[in-house]
Amino acid sequence: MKNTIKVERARHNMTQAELADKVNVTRQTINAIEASKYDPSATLAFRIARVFGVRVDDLFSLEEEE
Amino acid sequence: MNKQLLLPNKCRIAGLVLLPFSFAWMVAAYYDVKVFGFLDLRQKNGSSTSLLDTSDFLLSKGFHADLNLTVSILLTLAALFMAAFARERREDEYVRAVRLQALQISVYVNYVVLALACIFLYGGSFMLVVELDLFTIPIIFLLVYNYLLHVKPRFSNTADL
Repeated sequence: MKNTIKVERARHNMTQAELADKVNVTRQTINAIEASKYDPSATLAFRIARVFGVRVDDLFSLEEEE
Repeated sequence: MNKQLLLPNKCRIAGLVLLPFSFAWMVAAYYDVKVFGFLDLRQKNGSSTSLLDTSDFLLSKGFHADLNLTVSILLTLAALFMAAFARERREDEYVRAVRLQALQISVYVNYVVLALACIFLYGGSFMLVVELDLFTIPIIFLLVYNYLLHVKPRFSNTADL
């Protein structure tokens, strides 16, 4: 699953640690999601989208082979 | 993994502090160094020193064994368990996924070691490997878990710290 978290973070001038605090997860979790090494649960995806004020499907999208 | 079944976070430090002492005691006991003389019940009964002697049952009448080894193995296992299965300060879904992955790898390694020992080793050597295999699950778990959660992200080019 692809995501634009890094772009949104840059847009909001936010570090991984700050985003992690806002959605109540560890920085490693945000790092793993950004690197597409971990697909978040629907709940976490909604929480992250809410922080950036965007829709979940603007933030996450399936890769073609998925 | 179920968060409720994990130990409190402080147990990790306690386990890591206890581990070197219990491990050193276990190695000493294995080489028959009497760290705590009162735990060596062989002297009192003057009988066999073999660990595989079938009369070496704790509840048997003529019980004789060096409990230094027994207690130090138990302490080492307890220390490893505390270090491995303590909660993180902040538990989340990724930490749970990593913990499950590390546990899966450690169980697989444990079975592979056991299978290889079954194929290639016999007698005392086999028993020694089976004894040491007691420790593979918590040790491999600790190594894989900490690598995946703490070491690997540092080398990731997406880390911004």
